[in-house]
Amino acid sequence: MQVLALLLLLSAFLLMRANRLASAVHILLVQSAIVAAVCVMEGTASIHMLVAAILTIVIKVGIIPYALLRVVKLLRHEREVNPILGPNASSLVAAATIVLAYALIDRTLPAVLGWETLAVSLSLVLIGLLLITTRHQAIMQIVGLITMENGLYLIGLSTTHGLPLIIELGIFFDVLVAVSVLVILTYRLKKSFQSTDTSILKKLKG
Amino acid sequence: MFLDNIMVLFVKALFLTVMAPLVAGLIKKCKAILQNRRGPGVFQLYFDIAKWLSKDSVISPTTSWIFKVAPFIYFACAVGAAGLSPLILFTGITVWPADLFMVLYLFVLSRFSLALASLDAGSAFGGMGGSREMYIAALVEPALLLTMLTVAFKAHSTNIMDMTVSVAGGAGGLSVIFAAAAFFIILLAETGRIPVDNPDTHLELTMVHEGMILEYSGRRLGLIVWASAIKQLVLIVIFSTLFLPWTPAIGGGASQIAWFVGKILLTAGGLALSETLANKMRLFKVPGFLAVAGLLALLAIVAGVD
Amino acid sequence: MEFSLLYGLMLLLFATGLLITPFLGEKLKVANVFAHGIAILGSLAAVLCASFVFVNGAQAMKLPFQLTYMAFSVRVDTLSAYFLGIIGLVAAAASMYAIAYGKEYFKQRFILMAELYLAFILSMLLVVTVNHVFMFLVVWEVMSVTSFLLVGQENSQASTKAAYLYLVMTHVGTAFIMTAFLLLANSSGSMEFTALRVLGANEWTRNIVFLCSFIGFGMKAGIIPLHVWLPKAHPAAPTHVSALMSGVMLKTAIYGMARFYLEFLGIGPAWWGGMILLFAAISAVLGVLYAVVEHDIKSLLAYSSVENIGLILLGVGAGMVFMSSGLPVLAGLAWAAAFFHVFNHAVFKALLFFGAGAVVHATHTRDMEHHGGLIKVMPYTSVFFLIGSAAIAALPPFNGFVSEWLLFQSLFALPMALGGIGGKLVGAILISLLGLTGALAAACFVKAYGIMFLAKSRSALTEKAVEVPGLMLVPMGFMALLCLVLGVTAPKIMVLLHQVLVAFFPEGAIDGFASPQWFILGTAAQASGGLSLPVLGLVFVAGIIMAIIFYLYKGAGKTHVGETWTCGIIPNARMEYTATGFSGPIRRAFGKILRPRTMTVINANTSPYSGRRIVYEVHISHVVDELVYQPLNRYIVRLSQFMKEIQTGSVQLYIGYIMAVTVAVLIWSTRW
Repeated sequence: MQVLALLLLLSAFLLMRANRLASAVHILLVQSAIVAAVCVMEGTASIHMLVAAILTIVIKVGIIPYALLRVVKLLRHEREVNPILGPNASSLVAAATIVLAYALIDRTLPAVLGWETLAVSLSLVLIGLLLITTRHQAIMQIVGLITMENGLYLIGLSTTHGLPLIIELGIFFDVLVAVSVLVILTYRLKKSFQSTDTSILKKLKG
Repeated sequence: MFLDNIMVLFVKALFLTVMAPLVAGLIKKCKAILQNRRGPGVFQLYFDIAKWLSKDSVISPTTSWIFKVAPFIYFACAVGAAGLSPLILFTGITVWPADLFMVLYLFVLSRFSLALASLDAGSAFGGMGGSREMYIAALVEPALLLTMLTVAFKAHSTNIMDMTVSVAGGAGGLSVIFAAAAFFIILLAETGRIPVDNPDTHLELTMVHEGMILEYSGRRLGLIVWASAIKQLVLIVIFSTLFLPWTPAIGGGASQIAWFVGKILLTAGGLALSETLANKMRLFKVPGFLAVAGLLALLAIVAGVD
Repeated sequence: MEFSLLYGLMLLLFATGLLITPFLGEKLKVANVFAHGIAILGSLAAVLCASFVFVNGAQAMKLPFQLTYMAFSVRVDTLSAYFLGIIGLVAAAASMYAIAYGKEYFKQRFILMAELYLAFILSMLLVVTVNHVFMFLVVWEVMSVTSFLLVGQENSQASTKAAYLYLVMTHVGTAFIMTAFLLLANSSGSMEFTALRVLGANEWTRNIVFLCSFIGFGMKAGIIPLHVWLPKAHPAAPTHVSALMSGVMLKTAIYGMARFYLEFLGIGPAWWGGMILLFAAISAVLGVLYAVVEHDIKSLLAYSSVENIGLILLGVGAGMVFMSSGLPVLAGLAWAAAFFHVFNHAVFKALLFFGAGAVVHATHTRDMEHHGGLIKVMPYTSVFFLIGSAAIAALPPFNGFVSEWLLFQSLFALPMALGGIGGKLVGAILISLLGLTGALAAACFVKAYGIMFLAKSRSALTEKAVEVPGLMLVPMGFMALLCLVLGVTAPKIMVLLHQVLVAFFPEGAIDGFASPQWFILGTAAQASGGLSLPVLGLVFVAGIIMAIIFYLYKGAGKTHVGETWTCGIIPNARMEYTATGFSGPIRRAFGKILRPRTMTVINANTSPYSGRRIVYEVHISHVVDELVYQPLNRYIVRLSQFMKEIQTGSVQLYIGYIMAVTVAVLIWSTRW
């Protein structure tokens, strides 16, 4: 369990350092797979956790990375990520974020069972936000969003041992729709501006 | 009871209408004497009006029915104001629906109709006269109301009869002197005299009232001149009744009549004197002149608090 | 006959109009007659409702469908009925006028306009009758929004701008009204009007409710300095809508104030009334000053509405001062003066807007400098407009004179409430300001009438003008007649007003004007009688007869035609006085307030000796704009600049904000 949590942290770290879009998507894929594994571990043979794990694999390991990779392939000239913060600075900030998350959880809920998982998931959420704010490419922002989502999912998992199935289904559907919309928008962005750099969107302001 | 009142109303209106040209002639005569001239006789205005009332008129094709009707309204307003004016000789009547504002708004109505008529012929003289008349009226109105209030506050009423009764026979204090001075200034402005207007000129730089009636001739001109004389007399009557309160008592006895006539003559003489001494004022100095009246009236109100 | 039937009929008529009109999309002529015909019938039903209440006393009803916070309960007491009747009367006339006038809008979105028009009237009728806070706020908003959309109808840049200014201002006002209502509802524990009272509430709550309601309703009424939208929005709307906006929509604000100050708030401290008097006097004087110097006829009428709202509020303020000094008799008089003027202004302002609309219809310009000589081509319109002008200038025997007299009397009694030298000075100054307002109003309408209708035509536009169709003349004639009737039968109207006010005053306090003599309108202060229009009429007619006798004494005489004297040259229209010229002396005398800026442009290419072209322009700067709105505007722009710095449009930065907040909340949640 702790191993998996550490692996998740590592994946988040790697995401911050990733400098190719395709590799970022691949890391995301692995991250989602780990989340699915956590799901199975936690659930210990309860059917609805199993369903959740399968859904995670189908949607977050299967459909979403596939769609993202297709878009990445279309963006032939934009393989490189173009960060606001360089890899080293990003890692530093990510490390600071993780420390902050651990400190916060340590202060508020020191005695809760599995507080480490909680801390890791909070770190994931914050790193996801960090990804969104420090990256220009639309794809990277989607990656950040999914990372955040993974973090939130983990929080739910670690505090409640599984939300009601209907809510989880809703969340998955939500993510799926969000990502499809974002992929479509990214594609439109590419068509209109020959780039997926979201800083172009500043031009929309009056 | 009611019929008596109506009779009194008509008698007053008729009386002042008949006397008005005489008072106007008196003022003219006084002025002439003060200026070492012989001047026309005091009855000259009667002859003038009679002449105008028998003459044909020339009317511009630009004009409409407003131009033709206005003199009648102007005349009727003057007569109406005369009917409602405060004559101390008829104070035995208890119910007297003659409000101060009825008189004032009759004046407004007369001004309104004549100003419209002045625009009707489409000449620049008329427009200028009308424009200046409305401008001076806007300045006179607040000052006039303030001055009237000095008396109305004393009477706790705006009814002309109440006001007359409340001041009659009273002693003259500081308040009365201020109020009289204020009303005298307004009298000059309202009757179109120097320094505000000049009744004897046809020069476009100075004329106000004359500019408005420049297009009139014949019978209608006669009506307008007569009405102006009535309006002047009504204002003089208001002045001498409400603002010169030195009268022995209320009523229509011989001494009251003598006092009344004396005060009218005094006012007429005062008007002639002030017109002889003063110069015509620039049009845009008039606000200051009338502000003096307003200020005096305010002082009178303050001084008149009992 | 049941009240609910009448009221239901009114609602049903408007609902029918609203539902069916859209389906007449293709047949514009049918839609025009149908929608406006329905509006006439509905408005007349409202008048019937009002008269029913005056005969049978207050009526209440609830509609069968009720939502939790939206109880649709209606209660029409005589106060509501008075306003309901006025709105119905004016709306009926305006709708008739609209049948002819609406044709001008066939090329635009006519169906939409007709729909909005119906909704606008209906919302006004509901505003004065609903009995529930939420319902009131909802219909108040509907009224604001429909009138906003109607203002925007003209499709010009100026009108769109005016419409948005109106929208912003009216919403700020609504926010204040909402605050006032919610505070009331909070302290009384009910949303029903009949239960709203703050007698138990503390002084602070009452004061805040007063201020909020005054600002909120004042915004709608257009008191200075909250008036800036009014002179821009009212002229921009189609004329029949302008007439309704100026004539009756402003009065819904007076209705709101009456509800608050007579009923909900009870007797307040004297400064409430004093404050209203102050703003009322400012509104009256400044409003009429701007009206005098205006030469766009509809803007002139709009500014004159600001003035008249000032006059009405003088009555309201005086009434409140009297109430707080325990003089209910005089308070009744002052409120009656205000309410009388509400009716009068509705009538003659609607009439004047109709007349102005007829002139615009005939000449296609609102600028008076292009009019002139219309009395010859539009004989009926010119008579009706003259009556309206005389009424608004408070000339006897029309209705404006009576209500202005009542106002004079109320102000005249102010020293009784305030006492001492101060009271006399306040009363005297207010009266002289009222006199100034009256004289300037007379100047204003002499100018408007003289320049528009008299002398020669000043442009080719007016030369082709013809009289407007009968459907436009009939409402004008009706309103003109009403001006006269309301003036002459003033004592009867006072009986009506007694019925309106009696519920809000102590038993028997205002019975003084309930049973007047048929010819005298008196006040308690006057020992020997007050205003009597019959007596005035008698002396006036005597004067006319005398004039005619003198005129005909030597026969009628001959009338010769001769050109106007212009020192020997043939006069033409360019020698006439213009509107700008006519108001020149007043502009100069009040230069400190109006601050006119003149601009003379001489065309250097023309010969200095002949045919030189000179363009002369006068601009009036608006003190309130300069002192209040421009600094406010600058502040808002600076704030917006700062917001612009924050709002870069960068997605990353926005999410960065979110992140910062998230982290901050997280840290806060641990109580560090």
